[in-house]
Amino acid sequence: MTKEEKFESIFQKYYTPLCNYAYKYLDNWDTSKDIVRSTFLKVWNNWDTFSGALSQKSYLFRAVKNTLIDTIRKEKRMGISEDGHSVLLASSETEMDSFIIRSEIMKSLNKLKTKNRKIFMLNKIEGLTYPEIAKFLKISERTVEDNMARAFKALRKDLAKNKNIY
Amino acid sequence: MKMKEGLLMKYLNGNCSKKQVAKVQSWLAEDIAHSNELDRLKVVWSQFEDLKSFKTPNVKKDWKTMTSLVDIHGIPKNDDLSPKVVEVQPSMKKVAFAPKPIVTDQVSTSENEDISKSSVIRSSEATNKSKPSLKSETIKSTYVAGKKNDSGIPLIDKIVYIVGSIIAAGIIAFGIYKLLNKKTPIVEIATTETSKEFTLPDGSEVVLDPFSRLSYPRDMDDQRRLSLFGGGEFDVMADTEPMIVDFGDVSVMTRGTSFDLEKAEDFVSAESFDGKLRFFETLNEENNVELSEGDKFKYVNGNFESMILLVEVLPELPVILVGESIKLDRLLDWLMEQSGWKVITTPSMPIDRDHEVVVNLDQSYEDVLSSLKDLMDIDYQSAECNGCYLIKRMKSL
Repeated sequence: MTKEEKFESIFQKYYTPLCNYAYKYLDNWDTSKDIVRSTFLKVWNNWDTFSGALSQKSYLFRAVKNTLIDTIRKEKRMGISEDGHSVLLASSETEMDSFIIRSEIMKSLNKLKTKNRKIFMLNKIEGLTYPEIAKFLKISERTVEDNMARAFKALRKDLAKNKNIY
Repeated sequence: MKMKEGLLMKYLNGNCSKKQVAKVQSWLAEDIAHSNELDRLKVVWSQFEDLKSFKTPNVKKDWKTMTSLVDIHGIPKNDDLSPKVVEVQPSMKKVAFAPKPIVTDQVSTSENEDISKSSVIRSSEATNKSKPSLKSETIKSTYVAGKKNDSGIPLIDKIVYIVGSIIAAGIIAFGIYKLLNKKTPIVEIATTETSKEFTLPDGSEVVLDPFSRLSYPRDMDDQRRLSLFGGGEFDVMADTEPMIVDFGDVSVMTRGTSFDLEKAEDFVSAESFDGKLRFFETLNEENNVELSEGDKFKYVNGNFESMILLVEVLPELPVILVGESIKLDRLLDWLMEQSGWKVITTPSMPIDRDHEVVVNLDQSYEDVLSSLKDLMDIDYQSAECNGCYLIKRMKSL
């Protein structure tokens, strides 16, 4: 794999979780994305250091965390509370792992058929019960059950081969 | 032992009965791989609650932005994210066509001097305009017109600049023309006896029906126009660029929804599953129909006709009007509500139990209604629309 391909692959893998990690503390989606992009730019600039790092995930996490701390400290325009700031300082890489898992789950969910995905997300993410979904979508409960089972089967199959989660 | 998806999901949700828990546990005991899988699924399950606030950026688009900031084939020139980064890239310098500021020192300074003969000129730095440069390279040049112009630039240089500018402008114009008329390679996918599921370059998903063919551009960034022969189900990735699928004499256009296109013997149809869809005549876009979620229209003899008549329960009267395309489960739901009967759609269940009836979903509506007529105390008759039935409950419960 060439350097460029490696860089792209790392971007594809960590961009979404890092953006969400930054967003948790900034509450500004565009700025969060800018910060993550600038981190990736630094990675490219310091490729040798990055590629020699023991854990590239840790490197990226620390780099984004430091940029976040700097941004908040310098600009003080995000309206982040002292509590939020201290939470950020205390945030660990485990938090990043959660965002990686969520990112991979979203990728798997997006591979589901529209109807299966819609019903599965209404239940698991929006918290609607089967009867509520049936009423909302004007379908029978049995259809909801069938779609849930189909979605779960496809999700289970897709997640089983995903090495980024476990 | 094969684990049913529904049961495993119930277990993960914590909704299992004791008997079901025991069943799952015996499955777990069968193989260490089963308990490993369950552990992984528990990790996934624990994340669902937080997915509500999880945002998904357009990674493809943002990667493009990234590559515009980084010279992917070399070292980036600047780590500033502002657009000026682009300005300092060497590739940008290459397209600067400004002529080199060569200033010549005329050997002869007389304004009216005939310089038709060969002259010797020297190029020099602009700052040394009036002084002959010692270091400058001596260039021999033949002057055709031979006159020095008002700006002090020899006419031949001016001509070279003009010609150079014209050529440069021509190259740029040609480049723009080629860019505008860029022909993206077309990919074609065809099926035989079985349907085929695949993802388009823009992320949209397609299930192509058997004996169908779909053509689409390999690069769908600028244009999302496809050509379909046969039928297929589309789940279109939302984008500002609409997707158009040409389908015989008609086309459908959407900015992101899922829909189905079918070709029957004498008509073609489009059904929207979950969003807006414009269904129009390809050569006469004014002849069109807008489909919303659940709508299904057919195009026959130049007209668009609805194929779905949604259930309409008339107020006060126990009457229902159904169309041929309505989902059978909705009809059964209504019948269950009206009659108090439980409708079982599993063929293995006995038919003669009290208040339970088995319905074969492969039957026509008329056969379904006929089988339910006495059991549910309903009556039905054909309605005006083709394939529609008016169903009436005969007595109140």
